[in-house]
Amino acid sequence: MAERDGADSAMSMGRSARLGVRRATSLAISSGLFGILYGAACASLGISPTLAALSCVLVFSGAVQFAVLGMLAEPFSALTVAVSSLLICNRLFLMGVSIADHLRGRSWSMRLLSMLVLTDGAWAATVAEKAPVDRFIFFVCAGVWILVLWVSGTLLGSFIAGRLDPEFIAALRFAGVLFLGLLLLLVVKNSSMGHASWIVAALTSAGASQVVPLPLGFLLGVTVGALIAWFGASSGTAR
Amino acid sequence: MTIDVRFSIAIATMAIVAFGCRVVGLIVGTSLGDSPNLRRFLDLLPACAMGAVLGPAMVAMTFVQSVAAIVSAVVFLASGRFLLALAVGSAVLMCERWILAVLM
Repeated sequence: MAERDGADSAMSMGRSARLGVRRATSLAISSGLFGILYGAACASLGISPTLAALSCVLVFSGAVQFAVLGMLAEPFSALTVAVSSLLICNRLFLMGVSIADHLRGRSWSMRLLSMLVLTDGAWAATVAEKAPVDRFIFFVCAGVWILVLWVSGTLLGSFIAGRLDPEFIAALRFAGVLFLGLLLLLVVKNSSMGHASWIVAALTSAGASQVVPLPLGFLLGVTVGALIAWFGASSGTAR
Repeated sequence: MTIDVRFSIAIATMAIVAFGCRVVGLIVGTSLGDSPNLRRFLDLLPACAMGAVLGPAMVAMTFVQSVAAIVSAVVFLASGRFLLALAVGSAVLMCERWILAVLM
């Protein structure tokens, strides 16, 4: 694991930062485009651009933010928001577990602060990076760059919401699934990860969601995928 | 309660949950050992979660959405360009009206 330690990396902090920004640019632009949709959705509910942008900075999880927009009607329940957020955010927990090893060698305060920018894109870019970068700097710069465009897109969407064609917005809702699918491909293509575990997780979740509630189907999928990953990793043949 | 008040409460709730999940994950990940097999396993878990999110969405896809997913995956695997793949897939989605008109 020495190559993941910032102190042992061959690339300087400046170069690592620039590479982090460069590698995350396409992800950041994509996030910016989804930000426009999010901003427009917020505006359609009467939410001010300032609050919409603030939610992006503080939460920085598109899946949760989009989902919660549907829970703001009366009777409003903060508990419902909390439980739903928890169900959707378990991916962030798994990413936190995964990214921890990449951030070793930094103080706890730095690592905790960096968690503010942990999102699918920053995780995927960091895990997929093969160059001997300072992984902490790379991760933080990638995350901040994605955050900047996510917030900018949201503000833009809030201001131009009235000009967007509703059919255009409806069509692009599925682009979120495309984004997640491409992120998955990015990670598995550029790392030594196997394919069996995530494919089994997807198939299990798809099958289970036909007979049990979606969150339960999701948990079943992750559990079965994790079992496959565990035995694959143990035998060193996770492919 | 106005929408801004409700949304402010929702932001605070989401922020606590999201940051809490990240931090707990970081603590758990740091406290675990650093054997290569374990790290390999931990790196696979978020991919499993992504797969589990995508699975049900794939089952519920319309024809045009399926085409968009396949096209964007092929473009990405062939070119390695994330944004291009997403743009092509999104273009297919936005052309749904015309694609269905041609096929019907």
